[in-house]
Amino acid sequence: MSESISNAHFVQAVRDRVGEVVVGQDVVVERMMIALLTGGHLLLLGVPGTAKTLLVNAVAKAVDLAFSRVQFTIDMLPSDIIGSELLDQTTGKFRTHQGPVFTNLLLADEINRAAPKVQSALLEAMQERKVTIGNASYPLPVPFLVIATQNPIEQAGTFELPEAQLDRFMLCHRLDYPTSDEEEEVLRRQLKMGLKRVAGGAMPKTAFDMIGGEPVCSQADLVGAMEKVQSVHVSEVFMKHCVEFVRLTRTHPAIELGCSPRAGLSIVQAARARAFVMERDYVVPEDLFELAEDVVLHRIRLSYEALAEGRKPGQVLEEMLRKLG
Amino acid sequence: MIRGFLTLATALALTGFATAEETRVIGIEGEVTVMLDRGDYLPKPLDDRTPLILRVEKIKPAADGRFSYDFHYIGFEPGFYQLADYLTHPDGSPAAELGEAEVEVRSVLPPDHDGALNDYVPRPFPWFGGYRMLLGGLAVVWVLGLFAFIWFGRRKKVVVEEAVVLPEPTYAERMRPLVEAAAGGELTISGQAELERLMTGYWREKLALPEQRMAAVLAALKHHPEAGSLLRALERWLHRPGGASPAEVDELLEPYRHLPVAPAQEVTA
Repeated sequence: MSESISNAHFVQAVRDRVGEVVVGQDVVVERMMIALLTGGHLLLLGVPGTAKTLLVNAVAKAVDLAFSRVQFTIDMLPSDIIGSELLDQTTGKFRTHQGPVFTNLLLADEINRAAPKVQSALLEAMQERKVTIGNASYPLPVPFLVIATQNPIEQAGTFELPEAQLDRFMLCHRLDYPTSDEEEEVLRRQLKMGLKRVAGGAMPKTAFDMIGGEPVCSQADLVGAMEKVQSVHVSEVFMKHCVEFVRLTRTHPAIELGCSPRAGLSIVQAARARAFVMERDYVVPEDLFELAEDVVLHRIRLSYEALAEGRKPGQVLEEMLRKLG
Repeated sequence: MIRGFLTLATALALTGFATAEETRVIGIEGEVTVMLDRGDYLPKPLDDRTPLILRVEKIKPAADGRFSYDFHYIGFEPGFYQLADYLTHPDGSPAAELGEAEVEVRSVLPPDHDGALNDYVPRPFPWFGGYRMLLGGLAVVWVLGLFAFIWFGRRKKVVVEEAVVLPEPTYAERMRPLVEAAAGGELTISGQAELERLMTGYWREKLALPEQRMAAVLAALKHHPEAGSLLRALERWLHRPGGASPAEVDELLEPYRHLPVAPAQEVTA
């Protein structure tokens, strides 16, 4: 299986495996592949029921990555994420218990429900790729990727991530509802799933039960693909476009807070991965236009005047993109 | 008893009690010390119509076996008031032995005063002026001020001045120097980036694509036979490793070297 898979087919193999359980959402899968290939973290915004968790599960199992899922709640502590030192009563000594962050792919479900100190603990781990428990520092497994989800509708009892912490996410993708055809296909698949029998009992199967057990590619395949991404050519002209675009976010009159230099780095890295996904060995402006929303929108803050005029961040983004082409 | 009266009279004289010069007037509290034979006199209960309030502040035994009384009093009506009418024994019997020892409360005004507190000399009504005239004058000033405010605050007639504003340079005009520089092999990286943006904008404007996301606009342009081939050729030149040869660049840019440029129009602002 994965031993023989070529880098060129890496993406398609993962897409096909995910497509077995998730209908549509091709763009989200592409963004997850970009995050995997660049080691950048991904934030998914979407209303409940748009298969966010299922997608992450499917991708993790397709690539043979260690996977952890943490449902964030308001009463969580940082030690629930990064781990803690526990007293072993048999030996009388402290031993380190590593938390769920020690994994390759961490799904931080509803990250905005946790208190800021828990968010900070996770985001520090995302940035430094190591955690400190007690007096010792522990490196996180490689690759390490966080895919966090947020529900943009329910804001009661949530703690909105501040701009500085949102900046740590390379991409922030907003999930749309599936099309009518896709939704019909979801229903058709559900009707065919049948029952799951467990120890004499039974319950209807869900899409999670349909995720294939065997991965379609290994970590070695992923590393090979990541190496290929690093060799994707980025022209000087493309970098000029990126710098101009980021600069526009800082000078646009409707924007109070523009993008940091990290945004420019994210665009270039993500564009490289997208070029690889699209089977190109060089990036083109189309990559910038396609990724701009996911890279930039969570990094800018509109001015009070712009908000008072009823302008939306997406409209302002399109204005800036029109200046680029 | 006679000695008691003499003592009382002496005390009153010493403190100014019942003397014509130093007696208190209505409403002003006075005090007096009186020596009496007994030490158990009590003030009589008074009603709210009493013309004098007499209060015993202190009773001290004196060296000669008598008692020193400190009285405070306030009179509300002028006249002479006997102490016997305001003191009583502990058993409630009248203190008749006090005899005619009395307190005088004088009025502020002389007895023959007519009640006018201020002198009033009526003046004749002015022939011109006065309060009504003042009010009328203020009303006239207010109305005149209102008219002045409206008159001077009215909108001035706007003099329309014709200003000549040069139109924004077209995509073709902005592209021309860049295309010429590219043909001469002198186009910088910044110029190449600018040229690519202008060419995309030129075709976007030329095809008048509907308002939609720029990513969708770019995809639509790439599907257009002429624009698509140009953009793909631009991508090969500017973004692909190895780029394009000078001949290929010349061939690519040739159609854009002689783009018609619209004549400059004067716009009236």
